[in-house]
Amino acid sequence: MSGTYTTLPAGGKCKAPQPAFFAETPRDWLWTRLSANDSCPLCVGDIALPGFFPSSDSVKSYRRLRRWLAAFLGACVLLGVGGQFLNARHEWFPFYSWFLFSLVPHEAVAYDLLLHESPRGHAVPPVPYRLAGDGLVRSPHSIDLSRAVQELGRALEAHDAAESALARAAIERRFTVSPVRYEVVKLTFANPLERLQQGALPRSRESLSTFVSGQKLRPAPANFSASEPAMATEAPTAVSR
Amino acid sequence: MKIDDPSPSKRPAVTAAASRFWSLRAWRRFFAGTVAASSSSPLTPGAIFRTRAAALTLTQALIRAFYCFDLFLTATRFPDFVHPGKVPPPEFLLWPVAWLAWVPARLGFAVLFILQIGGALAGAAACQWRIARLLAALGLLEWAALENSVFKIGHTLHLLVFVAGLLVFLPRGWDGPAGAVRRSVRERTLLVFWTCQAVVMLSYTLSGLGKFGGAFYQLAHGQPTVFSPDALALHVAERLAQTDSTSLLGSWLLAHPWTGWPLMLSAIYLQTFAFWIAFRPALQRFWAVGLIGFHIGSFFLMTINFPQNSFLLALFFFRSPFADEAWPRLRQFLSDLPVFGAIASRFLPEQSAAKRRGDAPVIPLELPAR
Repeated sequence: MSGTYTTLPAGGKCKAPQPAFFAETPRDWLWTRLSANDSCPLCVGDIALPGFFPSSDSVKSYRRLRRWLAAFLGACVLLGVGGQFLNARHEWFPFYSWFLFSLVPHEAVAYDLLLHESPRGHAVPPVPYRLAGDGLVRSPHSIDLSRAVQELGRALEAHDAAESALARAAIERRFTVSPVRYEVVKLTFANPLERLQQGALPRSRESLSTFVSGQKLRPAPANFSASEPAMATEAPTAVSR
Repeated sequence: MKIDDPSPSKRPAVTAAASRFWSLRAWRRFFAGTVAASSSSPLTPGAIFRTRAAALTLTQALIRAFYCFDLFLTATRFPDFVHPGKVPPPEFLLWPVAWLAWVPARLGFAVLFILQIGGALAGAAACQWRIARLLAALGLLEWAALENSVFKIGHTLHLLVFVAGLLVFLPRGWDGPAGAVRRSVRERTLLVFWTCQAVVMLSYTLSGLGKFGGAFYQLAHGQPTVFSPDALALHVAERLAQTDSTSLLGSWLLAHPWTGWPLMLSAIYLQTFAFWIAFRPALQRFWAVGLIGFHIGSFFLMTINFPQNSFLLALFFFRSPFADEAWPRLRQFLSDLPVFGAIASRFLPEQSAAKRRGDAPVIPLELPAR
């Protein structure tokens, strides 16, 4: 048996210099045996016979693979976290930071979309898009659509034309008919719990802009949004407490 | 002695630290800690050989099961492929499917259809061939990219893409009878499979660390954090309000926000230390149960479902090739727990005695360093 085999010190961690590292686990103990050219009943592969173990091509390929896979895991972390700051999607597909629900929602601000008029010759009252039904909006309860509305609201407030154009394109692809006049409004709640418990009744509502779908992503004429009637199914136009 | 040729003993501390940073062994020790010896730690060469051979047999079965799941998932998504009009605008296409902008939609969909169906079939039927595994991985990558080429990227397919990509690197001859497979092939196969386990767990750890980062940020801004008693209720409220939907348990939780506190803290603990569990086989089954429970709870509270992740957790960790078939003893479970294990070890004198005797465990996938 190889003379490099040593017992572990107290605590289970090997602190000795190499080659006593070989003895850290029972499998290492086995490799140690093989590396010392001992006759071994387990010589079923190409590692043990003959020659010194670390110079084996098989072991080199194993270590090379291990380094690559470790680098891959490191890349998953670096590219995933770094991707947060790369683009508007916050990821470099397929690497992702997995920062899901990291921030507790505290803002009582939400954006909503009010549909004003459909193209079928009949005007609809200003109705939130979620209540418009599948006849006007495809999958109105989709989380993607909800996020697009929030992105559009934030972009409008920040006067970010590029972001708002992207968000509008994502939203308008959901409309089953065209053109549709819609208004982006900012709703203010005390907190998410109150927002839900009080039936989406906001403390205040502010109109950000009104668009017509399919019109080169330009805002609608200024004479359109100001004189619209109040929301038909939800809160009053402007609520103050 | 020359200044530019210091002896190892006088090497600067920075160099030594850098050396430790790049040492895979040091990282493995960090994550594995002083794991407790399992009940059947083999110490003889024959026993070690039998253990590794059994691990390989199990790994082969699990890999085949993964490709069968890929085929099942593909078959259940057939309707997605019959609507060529669903091709997103070019500016939304992710890079793996950016080529769709230059070909007719029907042709692009036909190529994707054949690639995904063919790759899944080839993977399930002949995963011993690298070309079949490569096709399966490419099909999954393209499918996931197409499905996520809309405004917001979903994340139900990401781990499948990673696992399929990693399995391409299985060595030639990995699927033979365990006793006849060369030792180097066996160890490389187990290494690739372990990496698949690790990348699944790494996603949860990143999620957990993100919650810690978010908590620091919100704490600095005087906002409620994920550690607040009503954090889960706020998440649930926000989600249900966003989607204007209801969930089975959501309304009850909103009426009793404090009940979500232990659930949230448990989820954060499970997520943050998931990657540690890749190095602690005795805990893998427990963590998989916990994380699947987390996914089920997320569905009942927030209508968020990750069935693919739940399947991967069950497949890779319920019967891990690196863990004993028997469930670990309570002592081993407690002492292996991240963070709490160090505390529990102080009250487990028998285990400490075992460690003093040098009963080292079998840690998967570690070859001696040079």
